[in-house]
Parts: sequence; C-alpha cells; structure tokens
Amino acid sequence: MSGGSAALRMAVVAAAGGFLTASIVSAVGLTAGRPRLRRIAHGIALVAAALLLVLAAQPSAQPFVAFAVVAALPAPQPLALALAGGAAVVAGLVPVTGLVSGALMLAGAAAAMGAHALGRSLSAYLARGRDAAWPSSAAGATACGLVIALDDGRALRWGYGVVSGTARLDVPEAGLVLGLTLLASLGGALLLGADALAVADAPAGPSAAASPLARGLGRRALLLAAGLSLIAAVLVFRAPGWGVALPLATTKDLGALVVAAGLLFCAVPPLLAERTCGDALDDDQAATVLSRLVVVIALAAVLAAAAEGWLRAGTYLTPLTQRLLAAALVAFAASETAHGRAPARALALAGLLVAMLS
Amino acid sequence: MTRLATSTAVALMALALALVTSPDAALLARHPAAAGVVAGLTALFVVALLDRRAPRRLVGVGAATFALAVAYDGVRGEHGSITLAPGEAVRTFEEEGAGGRRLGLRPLGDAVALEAIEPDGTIVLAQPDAQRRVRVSPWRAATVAGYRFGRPRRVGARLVLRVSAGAEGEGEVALHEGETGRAGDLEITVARYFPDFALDERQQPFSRSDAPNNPAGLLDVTRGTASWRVFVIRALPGIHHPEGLDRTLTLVDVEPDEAVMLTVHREPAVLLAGLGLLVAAIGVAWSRW
Repeated sequence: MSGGSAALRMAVVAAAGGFLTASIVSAVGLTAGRPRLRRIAHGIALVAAALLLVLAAQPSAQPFVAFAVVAALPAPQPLALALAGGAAVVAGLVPVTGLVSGALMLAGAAAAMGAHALGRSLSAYLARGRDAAWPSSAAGATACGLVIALDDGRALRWGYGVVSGTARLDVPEAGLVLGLTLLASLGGALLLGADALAVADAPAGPSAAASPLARGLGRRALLLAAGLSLIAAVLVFRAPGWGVALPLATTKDLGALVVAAGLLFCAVPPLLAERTCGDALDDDQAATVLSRLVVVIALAAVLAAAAEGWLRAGTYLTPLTQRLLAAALVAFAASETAHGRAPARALALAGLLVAMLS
Repeated sequence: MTRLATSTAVALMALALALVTSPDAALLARHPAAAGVVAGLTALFVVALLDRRAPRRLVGVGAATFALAVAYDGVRGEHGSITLAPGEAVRTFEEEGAGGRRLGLRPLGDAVALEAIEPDGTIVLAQPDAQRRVRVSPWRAATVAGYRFGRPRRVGARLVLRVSAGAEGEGEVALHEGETGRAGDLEITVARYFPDFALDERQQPFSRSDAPNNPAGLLDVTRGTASWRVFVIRALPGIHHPEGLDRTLTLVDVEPDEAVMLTVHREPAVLLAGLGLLVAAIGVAWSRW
C-alpha cells in the first residue's frame, strides 16, 4: 500500500470517527439542553467534513462527500451526523470508477437535508414530552434491518463473506459478531417498543416507563448492539487484508455498520433524560422548511439526471432518473402531508439514499 | 374536487406514483395495466394540484408537462440497439418495446456506418450520405440520422449456433451477445455469453476469463407466442432440450469479431420533459415556506 493511500485511509477513519463522535455529543447536548456541547459537536463535524474534502476530486466519492458536508454544515443534528459517518466510510473506500455526476451530488445534498428534516421532526416529537422509547425502538429496528441486509442476509446464519475478484473469503468471526449485533438490536427494539406500548397515558414523558426493567434492558441492549456494530465493522474492514482495495458491496456494508452504530448510540441519550429540552414549534417549522428544500433539490437532481442520461446514454429516462423521480415524489408527499410526517420523511430519506447507492 | 385537493390526498397520490414509477418495484414492466394506472393517477394528481393557489398550480403545470412529454415519448419514441462491425453500414436497427420486448427492424433516417473503434472504446460513426462523422464514447452519446446513439460496447465474438430441425435438415446462425437472428421459424437472441464458463459456489454461472476456453451461452428462443430459454455449451452439444421445443440448438463455434453494440433512442419530447421538471421545481420553491 502506498503512503498516499494509507494516509487517505487514516483520514477516512478519522472522518468517520469524527462524525460518530459528533453525533453522540450532539445527541447528548440536544437531550440535556446544553448548547456548549452542541457547539463542540458542530466543530468536530466541520473538521471531519474538511478531512473528507480531500476525496472531492474522486467522481465515485463525490455524492457521499456532498452528503457528509451538507449534513455537517447547517447544525449538529445527531441523525444526519450518524448517516454522515457511514457516508464518510463509503466515500473513502468506494472503488475509483465512473464519471462526475451532478445528479448524484444533488441527490447526496437532498438526502442530507432530508436527514436534517427527519432529525428536526424527531426533536419536535421529543420536545413535546413524548415517549423517547418509540424513536429509540425505531433506531434499533433500523439497525437490525441494516445488519440483515448485509451480504444477502448471511448474518441470519451467523456468517459473512467478502468477495475478492472471483473468490469468496468467509469471515466467520464477523458473522458471529453480526449475529450478536442482530440479536442485541432486535432485543432492544422489541423491549423498548413493548414498554412504550404498555405505557397507559398517551403523552407519556420520556422517563415514563411501564417497566423500568424492560426499559433499562432495552437501553443496554441498544448500547451493546452499537459496540458490536463497531467491532463487526473493524472485522469486515480487516478481512481482505490491510491495503487491499475493498469491493463496492463490502464498502457499502461497512458504511451500513457505521450508520447502525451511530443510530444506536444516538438512541440512548433521550432514554436517559428526565425531560428532553428544545422548542417543538421551532423544530416543526424548521422541519417543514427543510422538507420543502429537499423536494426542490431532489427535483433539480431529477433534471440533472435526465440531462446526464440524454448526453451520456442517449435517453433521459434512465434508471437513475426514475429512482430520483420516485424519491422526489415521496419527498413531495412528505412535505405535503399533515399526518405521519416523520415516517414520510424517513421514507423520502430512504428513497434518496437508495438512488445514491444504486 | 375539494377532497381530491386535500394535502393527505395529494400526498397519497404522490406516494402511489412513486411506487409505480420506481424501477426497483418494476411494476410497469411486470403488469401491462400499470401504465394505465400511472396515467390515471397522474391525471388526478395534476387536477388536484391545479385546484390550488398559484404556486401549487405551477407545480401542477410542471407535472402535467413532464407527464405529457414522457407519455408522448412512450408512444412516439423509439428505443433499440444496433450491432456493427468495422466498415459495416446499416439503415435499420432492432427496436425494443416495453420490458425489452423485441419489435423487429425499424428504419433509421439515413445509412450509418462504423468507421473505426479506438482503444478506449470510443467509436467513429459515419453518415455516408451526409458526409458527416461523429464520435460516440461510453460516456458521450451523439445524434446520428435523427437518433441518439450511445453506450458502445465491444461484443467481441460471434456465436455460431446450429439448429437441427429433424426432417427439415439443419441451419446455422451466427450472433453476437444481445443480437437477434432467425433460423427458420425460430427467433434466437443471445441473452448472455460466457467465454470461459464456470459455476461459482452458489451455482451461479460466471466467466473465469475473457478467453473462449469453455464458451457457453444463454439463448432466448421464440416461435410465435411460445418462448424458451436454452443453455448451450460447446463442450456438451445438445445438453439442454427444453420441453415443447422440437429443435436442438448447439453451440458449434465462436468466431472472434470486432463488432460493437450501441443503444439507439429517439425521444422527441426531451426538451418538454426538462421544461416540465424545471417548472415543477420553481413551483415548489415559490410555495409558502
């Protein structure tokens, strides 16, 4: 491995670590109402984003760099920063191929704004004094889904493999840790979800729990799953050997593991707080504005994808155009609806991420 | 009308449209009725948006313009592929319909010839009648004879297939990967070519190398409304004989060739589609924040 690429890997690891740290610090600052912690988180995120700018010249990394930079710039939002950690990993390790795509960069920016919109929706939900167990349970379920999606669901059979060329390298230790991650995140999601369902009063406070034991166990299971996700990420990263270029699928798996760890870590502070600080009205208004912005950027991405398709392939109706159009329509639905805004925004974010990763 | 224009109704219609148009759900390719559903939903979506105040009306106008452009290109547009060897000139291309269904040969606006293939995959196309040359690369399409030509890729080899027809004797046809040819009443398309065929640990076929050490292919064979998928491999002639197909197909040989396959498109409403998207984006941006 050359000195340059070793330094690049170190920078990527530092950036991903920086985003993860920033997301945890910002989650604690947001929950405890400590602006100083949020300022520190913003600073860490900006430094991590600056580190990633060294990859800005690589066409295949550009959408992920755009995502990470836009996620870090406006404000320290735990969800957006956790996703930026995964984007940093993919940006640094994705094979250097392809052409510069303005459409994908715009999709990255739209997805980052979508993550901010969803994060502000969740902040508004918590600031209203609603039960924190629901979003934490959703974070556990999302992490569970991400682990199941790795390597065609091999974690369900306690296995994991890395494809290198035409050979497949089995990594049983990663499979074992992934299986444990799956169980821990599933256990945490189910315990917290069941406890939230059992709370009698509808607008329960964050500390209200039908069973403090279930809530405590659920919280610890999420923390355990977060730690295991990071261990699994290290095992997967090491599997092909230090310095060996990772295939695209493994790079995406690593990004997913970092995102899972970030989501799980961020899900814990609201469960520990007596009452979450914040201005629900302000968060709601910000989320509405951001949702509208997501639609505008997503439509610009569709336009760019259509132009790129026509210039490069001869047709504007490429799969990328169609995926971005579908994501823009979901984002439009999320910006329109008065009911179920958070799930709709989560769906819009998922659509944009799928368009970026396909 | 008022109920149709509520935020919830508009959001639900947008979600339904997203589901139907997503290439990952592939509903349009799976069900012929999906196109009708999309048309109906789009009409309702546009009507609901037009029923609102100015910025939303603009979104509706943009959505309607884009939908009309896509519909026009769906009906009047043409898509297909063409395979050319150096020096070869053609006046037709193989047209494809929805879901890659082959519709037969369609005339181009002019003769198109392949003049040269460059090492980086860029090709030089000539329009002999108009004395015009254009370069088409894997990253840059070009307009020739009224059509957009793009995504050139080398097909490298021609598969020589023998079709034994029992009492009717035998016939041979030589095809590139992706190319369609006729042998008697059979239409044969080489769906996939494996120069050095092998199976991986999941029993999935792959090619160990680009050298034709163990050539094999997957063929789509049709006769009228009946269709079969036939596997042929040079090392084991006649190994696969699908039920209902009264011919035997064998891969006799692989002829090295320098041919190139290109995609061909004609979408007359492309500018209208772009305009529609732009107007819709302006409408959303102009809405009350």
